Amino acid sequence: MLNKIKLSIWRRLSQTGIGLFLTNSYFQVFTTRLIYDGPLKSLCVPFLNCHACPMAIFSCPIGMLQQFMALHQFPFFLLGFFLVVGALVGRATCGWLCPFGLIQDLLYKIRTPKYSIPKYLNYTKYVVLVVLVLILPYFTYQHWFSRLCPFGALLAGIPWVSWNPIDPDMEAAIIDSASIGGPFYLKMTLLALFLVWFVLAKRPFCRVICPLGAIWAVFNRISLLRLKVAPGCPECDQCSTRCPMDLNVNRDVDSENCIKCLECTACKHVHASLKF
Amino acid sequence: MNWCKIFKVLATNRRAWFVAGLLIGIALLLYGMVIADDLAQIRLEGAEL
Repeated sequence: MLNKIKLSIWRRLSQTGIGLFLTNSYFQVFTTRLIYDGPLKSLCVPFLNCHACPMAIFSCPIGMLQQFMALHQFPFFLLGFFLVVGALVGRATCGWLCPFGLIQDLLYKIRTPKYSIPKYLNYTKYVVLVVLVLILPYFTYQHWFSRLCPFGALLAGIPWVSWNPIDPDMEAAIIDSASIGGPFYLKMTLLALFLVWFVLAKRPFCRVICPLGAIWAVFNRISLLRLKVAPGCPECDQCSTRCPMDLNVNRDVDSENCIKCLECTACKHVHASLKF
Repeated sequence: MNWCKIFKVLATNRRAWFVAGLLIGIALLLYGMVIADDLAQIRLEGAEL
């Protein structure tokens, strides 16, 4: 039992330490007042993290996928990245690294009446991926998902608009106050709605909206890291109660929504396996 | 040789999918880095506000 509690602490440490702080650790922005453009920006993180965040040092894979679609270029590197990470760990990055997942996990702890998300909404994320990330950017040259992304609003929109320093090159405010209009307030409204939803349901963004989760979900059943339910499981549903994605682990192991957070391994009948 | 049978075995074999995914992924990753110069494109876009 002690090991299982430790596992939970490790997960929180990894989400905050690597997912939130290490990825957004460009402290020089306070002196340069310019976004980081060094060599690390060439690399994508395997989770959602807006590269327009003032302190971001890596790029967002979904932002980049939209960029390649808008440029009508084939995303060789990104596709390879998705295949390699997906084949190795499936959706584990959602459970262990994604800072937006952490925010959802924490907000769900607020004591309010809770409700379950209907199963058919699980397929919405594939529609979001195909329409907002692939098709619309290809035909309109605009990053539609980024324009609406609530995590982008939280990580980049709010910090830049509230700080809005003077650009040292242009000698003018980085964000022109006249440009803060409808799209910005729409994004803020979406963010507010999502934050309320996070309090009421388990990880709704990951289950219903996240296009990156939709990509990793495809690999969940073939990935190296998998879950196993031992024969003789009494179906006590301890695993399902602990699951942050509200899954019936014993009935649908390694489902497309499983984020491999390993919380369900608190039950002695469920264990993780790295078997080829 | 029964190609239909071979295809069926491969399509339903988790290990085959895993190995194919990993190998194709590594090949695309290297092609994107070395030949297509995708990293420069990513860096350029990543530095945009």
